Amino acid sequence: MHNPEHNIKTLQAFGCVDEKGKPYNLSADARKFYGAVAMYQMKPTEENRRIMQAVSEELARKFELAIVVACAGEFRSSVSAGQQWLNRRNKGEEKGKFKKIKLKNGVEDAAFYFDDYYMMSRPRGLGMYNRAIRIKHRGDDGAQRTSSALTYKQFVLDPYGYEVGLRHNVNFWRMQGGGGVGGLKWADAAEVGLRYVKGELTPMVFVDLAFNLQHNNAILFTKTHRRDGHIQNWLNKRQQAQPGWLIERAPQDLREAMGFGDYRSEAAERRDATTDKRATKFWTSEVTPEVVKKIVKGVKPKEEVLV
Amino acid sequence: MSRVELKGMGVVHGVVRGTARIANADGSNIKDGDILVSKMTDAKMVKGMIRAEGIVTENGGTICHAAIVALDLGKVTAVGVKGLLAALKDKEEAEIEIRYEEGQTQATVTVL
Repeated sequence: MHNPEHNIKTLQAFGCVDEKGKPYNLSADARKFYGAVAMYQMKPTEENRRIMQAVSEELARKFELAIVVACAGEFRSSVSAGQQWLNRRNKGEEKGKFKKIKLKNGVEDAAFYFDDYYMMSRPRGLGMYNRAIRIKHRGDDGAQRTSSALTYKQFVLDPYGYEVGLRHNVNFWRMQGGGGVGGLKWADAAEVGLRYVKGELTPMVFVDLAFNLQHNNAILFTKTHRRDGHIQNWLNKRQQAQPGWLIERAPQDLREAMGFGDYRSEAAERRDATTDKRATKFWTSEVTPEVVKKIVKGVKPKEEVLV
Repeated sequence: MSRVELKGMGVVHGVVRGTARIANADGSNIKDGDILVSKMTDAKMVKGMIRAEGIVTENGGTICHAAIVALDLGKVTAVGVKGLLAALKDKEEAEIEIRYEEGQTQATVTVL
């Protein structure tokens, strides 16, 4: 189980936290985003479109950073993963595979001006690549070592490195060919971030795609966000959900801003009506909302309520 | 020639008519003005969705991937159109009409 609280210092250092200094709440963000989309569908006014876009842009900023931080964290392992893969190749376990992958995926695309240096083909290729980024953007300050921590910091802190770093992630994990870290899901995550950084995705589409990103067996943002309840079930359910279901779960302030302050879906009205009808079979006195609430929760009413 | 009418949920209002193309994995077979038809859409199809005049999917609800992209791009889109792929063949002419009916956005997909 991933717990972003364990990485709180890292998240705080990179500004990937809310105003209270805690990791972002993924469940609240999901309710906000999909609620705004549903409300705009129900009431497609210019004002609502503006609000929906503002919500998307706010979440896109958070998710962009979260993807970069998460990918950078995973990418720390790339040096050892690359070495393991290289060792296997040298032992003949990956016979014939290396050349094919190298030609197919063209690491030179990511490898910047290191045209003839493939990180997997030379043991120090990745280190040299990272050092090249550092020298290009910050000058050669004498840092010769490329530790995993340095990889992490360079990748996250260097704004020029975002695009290159993400592209490197995509190519690296796609050609990784096994191992205990990374994998194709990380390549997918980095690719979504990369496409947003390059301007190929709008904030709204990016946020929607980002909610679907996964690592090993969970939502990608379990590494960087808090979440309440069964967020995965919620995200699965939303795909087939009716707008009313989503609007009822949107934050109250957003609902009021988009003109749905006292909105009740038809399904909720029907549910209430059914509950009232059942209750009146057993109670001849007036059924107050408090009594109904107790029945719904399965709490046995007190005697004084009964006739 | 028989007309087949299918119902689904609408996302963006309007009427479009064009050649329905069943999208391949990356949507590269969609040309400008086509209607993109698919069981579901995903991130790889976005470029095809941009070129398409309208989008129809067999599965999905009002906030599935196709609906979000359609809202953002302003494309006339119908989602959750049951029996779509059984009723529609590649390169057939089709029309999508989205309008409010009884407080809900209804989509009608007509295979012409």
